[in-house]
Amino acid sequence: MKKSIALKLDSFGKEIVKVEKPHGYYYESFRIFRKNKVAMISLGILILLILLAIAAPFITSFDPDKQVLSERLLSPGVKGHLFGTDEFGRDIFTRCIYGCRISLSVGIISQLIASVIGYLMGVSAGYFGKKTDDVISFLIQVFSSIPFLLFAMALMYALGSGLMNLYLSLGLLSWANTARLIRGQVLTLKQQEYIQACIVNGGSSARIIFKHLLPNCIPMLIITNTLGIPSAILTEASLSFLGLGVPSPTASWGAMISSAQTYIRTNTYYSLFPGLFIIASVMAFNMLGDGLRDALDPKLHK
Amino acid sequence: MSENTEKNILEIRDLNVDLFTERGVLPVLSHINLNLKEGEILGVVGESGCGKSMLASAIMGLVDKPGKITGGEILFDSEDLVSAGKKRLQEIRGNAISMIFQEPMTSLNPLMSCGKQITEAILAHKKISRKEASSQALEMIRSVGIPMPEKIFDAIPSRLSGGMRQRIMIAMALCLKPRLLICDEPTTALDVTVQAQILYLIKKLRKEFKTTVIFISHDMGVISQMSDRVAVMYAGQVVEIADKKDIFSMPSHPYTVGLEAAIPKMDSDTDKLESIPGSVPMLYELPEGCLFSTRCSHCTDQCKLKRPELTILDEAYPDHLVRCINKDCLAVQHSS
Amino acid sequence: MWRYVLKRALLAVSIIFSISLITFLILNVLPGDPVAMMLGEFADANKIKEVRHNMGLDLPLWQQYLQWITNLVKGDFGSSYFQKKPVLFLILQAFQYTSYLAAMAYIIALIIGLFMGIIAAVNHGSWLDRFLMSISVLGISAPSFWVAILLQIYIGLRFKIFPVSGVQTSIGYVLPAIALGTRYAASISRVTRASMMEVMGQDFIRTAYAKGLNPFRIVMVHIFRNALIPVITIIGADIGSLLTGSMITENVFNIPGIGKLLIDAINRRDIPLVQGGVIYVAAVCVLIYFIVDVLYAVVNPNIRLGDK
Repeated sequence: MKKSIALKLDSFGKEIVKVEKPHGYYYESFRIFRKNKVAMISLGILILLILLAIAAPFITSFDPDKQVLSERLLSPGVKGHLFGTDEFGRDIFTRCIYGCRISLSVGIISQLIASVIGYLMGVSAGYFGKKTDDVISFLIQVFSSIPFLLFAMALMYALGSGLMNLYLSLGLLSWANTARLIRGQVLTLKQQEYIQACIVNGGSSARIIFKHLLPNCIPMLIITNTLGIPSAILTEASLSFLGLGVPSPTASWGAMISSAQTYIRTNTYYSLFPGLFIIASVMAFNMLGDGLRDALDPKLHK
Repeated sequence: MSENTEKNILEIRDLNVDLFTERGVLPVLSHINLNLKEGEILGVVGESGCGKSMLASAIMGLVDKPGKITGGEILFDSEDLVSAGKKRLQEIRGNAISMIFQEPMTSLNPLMSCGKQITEAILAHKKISRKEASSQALEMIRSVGIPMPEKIFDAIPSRLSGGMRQRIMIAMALCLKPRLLICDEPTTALDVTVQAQILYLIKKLRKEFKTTVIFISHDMGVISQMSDRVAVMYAGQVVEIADKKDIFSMPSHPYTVGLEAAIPKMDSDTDKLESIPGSVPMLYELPEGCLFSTRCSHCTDQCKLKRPELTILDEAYPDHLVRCINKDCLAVQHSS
Repeated sequence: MWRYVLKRALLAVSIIFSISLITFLILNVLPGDPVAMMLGEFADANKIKEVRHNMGLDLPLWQQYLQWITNLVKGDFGSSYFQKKPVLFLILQAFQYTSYLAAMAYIIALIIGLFMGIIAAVNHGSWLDRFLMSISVLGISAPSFWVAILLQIYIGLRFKIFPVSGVQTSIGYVLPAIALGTRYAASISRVTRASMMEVMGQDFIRTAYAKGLNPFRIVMVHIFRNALIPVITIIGADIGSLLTGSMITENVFNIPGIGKLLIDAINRRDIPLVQGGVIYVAAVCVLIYFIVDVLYAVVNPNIRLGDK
């Protein structure tokens, strides 16, 4: 008997979710987003970079890691090397587009990890409150006080270099911001009648957290995720620059700039190109994030 | 226009203000004609969004993007403010014409002490020492009836109540003895008891300072207490203007009639509250004909064709102007 | 006010302790024997055992942590395994360079950033605004080490005034400080602009205009001072990344700061030095956050009053 009431109210709750976020919410966001020229250009750049990363072997005929010692440190354009070659005779353009794979995957995957941790932490703090909230809020404070790059260095030092470890350590260090925002959002959501109704009627916590709260937090997660990616990419580049990122000879923009350092007197272009790739990707994610934030803001709909 | 011998301190002639937005050019104020005699209080009444505040901004020379004055003149002491330079307007603002705003909570700089904010206004227009300006400011705080003026002088606004802050605003507006004071809904955000005190204060001080006042409100009750003359605005136009007693004894525009009917009356038996059906048309969907035609119960086919002019209703009352073509139906209304 | 300061101070101390625990866990619990890593792959078992014992690594983990943290509180950071000098001494020595570089970079960033932000906000919507904001987007997106290398190539090597390596004279700090400051100048300019724009839309700015104040005074006294509040929060958040960012710039310009010290320690697997350096830098960051918090309350009296 009791169960059927709970179920009824659950479906009632869902109805209200639809009212809260009217049917065309994402459609409306998309409409606003499409009008934003800067964001659309950024999206274009990102799609281009992702395509480059995926289709790298078909775009270039060079092997990113194969050393050709007879063709070392060539200037751009010489012998079919668009951006020239590095100190081992490897094609810089090829290494740049293979570098997309590292940077983009580190950026996206580490932030996905951070979003999952951040959501779980934030939602637990906001939903359960009391002691749980105290502990998690303190953890959020601690993790936002931690100098990001420094602890990324320490983690990479402890875990050893490698792609997996990059995903993990950057993800583990950047969840605090998401958690803080989600916690705030959940606290407001909890005040709303349909969530109250679910709680009062003994709806299971897991159900409320994933069925009712999660859909309402998705826009915020999309925004924090996108805006977290650029700093993850920059940190990856810094770590690789310091030799704590992916092991050589894997091509990574930061590591390329690091080796280019030795040749600033003789080969000035070497360091230029990987840097331009970093700027392009970081800038595109930043602008995309800003565009998404504007598009997903319900206040701007209508 | 006015044949009175009294000098007009302010003459607004055919003023137009447009908003330049993505939806096109929207007329916030169209063909405003107003005269203000020295020493009187002109009440301006209308629903929110009818352009009352824009009128105040226009007189202050504070119309900002996306708004723009697109025509007409604002003659203050025979000097046109529309064509005046920025420097000249800056000299006049706060000095000869000053203003009190609706929101006392947000209209003061939260980081600056009240006294300093008044001192600053004095120093902007008078070449006196900071110390003299401070003592004048203190004197002003005292004269708006604030207890312990020395203490309040150094307080930041967040320590004061809304009523206190509005008193500070009044002190700031009157510290240079302006000739014209514009009050833009000065009591709307306040409690009713405080409201009465502030209204009393404005009345008292303007007598002392011999200031002419434009008093803007959406509240017919407040307007009736404060004004000598009343202008009723609707959708960016003045639809009726007359002496206070005429406006209340023989309202002639259907909108004015509706506004007055909407004032709740203590003595009436009915529980029903009167209201005007519909709402103010959006600026981008104004009707072709009379702007009030969409809500008017006397609307005829004629009304939908052409916008009426502001004209004298009855030769016996040359100061009573109405923007309505249906004088007959109104006459019927008067007799009933 | 004092209650607020005390509360913040307690929070700061507890955060530092938590960070020390995290640091310890990262460097001691994660897979891999630190001593084996430290001594390299050819070290023999006895040697490893001896070192472990000397470093107290054969004790249970919680005892190790307790010992380490009590020593830290006493000011004993242990001694560097390779340099054979007290860790704290090495850190303090290196930190002078780092803090000098960071301070200089941030001063440059503040001047440029605030200036750009004000100009952009006052002229918002104009080509100048768009130009300045495009530059700032570039500045935010460029990694500091890359800017550093470009500065070396296009200014250092070309004009010979600014050395590209070392800081024997103060002029050696110029290029590193610009490289490090670029990013912060860019982000400060954006925050300043946004914050100024927000303040510009508020009622009390209209009041200021209605008083007939001089527009320059309105911008500087009324808008800018109120707009500064969010900027100060940014300053707090920047400091952490500034110190670590400076560590990378140091590597490019060969400055013997804490970054160089730590990277060398990491490369040589000098655990006591890595551990001490990390906790020291983290503690400095937390301390600065605390100071900024208090400063924030001083600048904005409404916080203390609990008004907002």
